[in-house]
Amino acid sequence: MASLCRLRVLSSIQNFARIQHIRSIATRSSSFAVLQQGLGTSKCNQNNLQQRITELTRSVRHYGSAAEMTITSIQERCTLVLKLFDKVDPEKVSLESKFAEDLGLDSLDAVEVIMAMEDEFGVEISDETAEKLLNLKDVVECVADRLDVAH
Amino acid sequence: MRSQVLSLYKLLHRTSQKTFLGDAKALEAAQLRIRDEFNSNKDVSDPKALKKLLKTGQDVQLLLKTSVAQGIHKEDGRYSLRIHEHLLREDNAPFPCDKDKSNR
Repeated sequence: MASLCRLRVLSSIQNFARIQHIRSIATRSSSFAVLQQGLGTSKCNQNNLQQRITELTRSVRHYGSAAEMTITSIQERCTLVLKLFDKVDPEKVSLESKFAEDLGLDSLDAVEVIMAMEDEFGVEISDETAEKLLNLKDVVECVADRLDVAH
Repeated sequence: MRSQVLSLYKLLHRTSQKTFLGDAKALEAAQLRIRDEFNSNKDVSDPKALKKLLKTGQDVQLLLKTSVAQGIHKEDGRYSLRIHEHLLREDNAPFPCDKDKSNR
């Protein structure tokens, strides 16, 4: 009987979630918490339980937003992208190291690096601007400009 | 001229990324080929030859963009073609019988 009750609770939560179009992970994890609480009170009659679930889920709906960008996080991500580039020696990478002189990249490699940065941040860097970006610091500044981050 | 070459290089890469979307093997092959072709002509300095090479690159880009469609193999042995917005689609030639009718 108890397991039957649990099954019903589970399906009613699923239905509820479907009706409310709950999509965010935060809400999903909190409705799981409700499920566990609900199982604890297996003697409760189902109507009460459903009401309780409704109250609890309604109070914990959250929506996510993009993580806030700072100049340091841009620096970290740019450095990582460059370190993962297959022709670059990860140990030589620093903010000041020049693509051509210090990292041994040719102009075609530089274009590929800039493309990888564009993909990483979802920004567009024009060819004229890209030609002036000679080291990682320039790239970070350019990306920060595009994303409206103070630097 | 230098910036033209670099922008063509980038455009070719971007186009191949779109054309071979989700096809890792073709993507890698395309990237390698683009790279090789540019590298093999890196010492060309004659303006005429450069112009010709640029034209070839632009033609390849146009071809990749408008004339290559991905076919996805389905379980029943048939292929589904991914028709994208840039794919060149020409009008069907009208049936001869329709033409005859309108002439009459």
